[in-house]
Amino acid sequence: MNQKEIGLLVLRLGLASVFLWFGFSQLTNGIAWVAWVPEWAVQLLHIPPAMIVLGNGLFEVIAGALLALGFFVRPVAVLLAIHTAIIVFEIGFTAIGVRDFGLLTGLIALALISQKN
Amino acid sequence: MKLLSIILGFIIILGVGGLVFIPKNSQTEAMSVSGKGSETNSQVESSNSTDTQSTPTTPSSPTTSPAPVVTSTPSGISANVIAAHNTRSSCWSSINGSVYDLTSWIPNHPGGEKAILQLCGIDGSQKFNSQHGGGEKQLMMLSGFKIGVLAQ
Repeated sequence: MNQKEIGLLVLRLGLASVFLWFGFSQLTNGIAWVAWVPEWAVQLLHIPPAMIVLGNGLFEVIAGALLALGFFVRPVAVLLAIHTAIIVFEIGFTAIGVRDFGLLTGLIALALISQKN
Repeated sequence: MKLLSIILGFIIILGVGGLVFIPKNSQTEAMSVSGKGSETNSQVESSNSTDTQSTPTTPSSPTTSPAPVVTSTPSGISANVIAAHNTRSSCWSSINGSVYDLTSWIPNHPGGEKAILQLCGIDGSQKFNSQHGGGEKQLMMLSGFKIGVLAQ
């Protein structure tokens, strides 16, 4: 295991733990996240915000688990990068938005340097 | 290499899952054995560090949080009144000239309880603005907790 592989593993597991935490949190305490659902998402999907939170939580748990296990790393990282980019755009230039922008750059880096599965 | 990666992945999944689930269970246990108390700010910090909760809380969205009965003068709620609500069970804060009851938001804040607990009983304008300044969504959510204006 060379230095690049260790770096990639650290990046992958670190990002996976973030999405797993937020995903599990949305599944177990969805009501706390309802207020974050954008109005356009409700109008677009025509489902209650609580269901959007649960769906989003499930997506993040599955994506986080795939990242953690090292399966489909590149496509999952691309999907999560798109997902995070939407969140960053929605939140705007705040402390949380800047933090998520950092996560976004990490995901892009992971997508770029991980091997094709 | 691949096997090690998968094992580490499982550890991460179980570890993070445990972090999310276990504190909730321990809070429930703590809630079932403790009664309603009147904590000071230092006690709030103390209970925060020991991961206990003195008052059972029901998660609610900002828009559904009931507005408490506030005894305020026509000119607004004074800083002294706000300072008296410096506990986890009653957490008021003044932010940019308005007064908010953030009690129901404590267990629901995505950034963690501590971020809200440190605002209880004080003027939280600087902390809120530095963290969320300009964020329309945060301002909209905050408005759901408004109970009055700060007395001049």
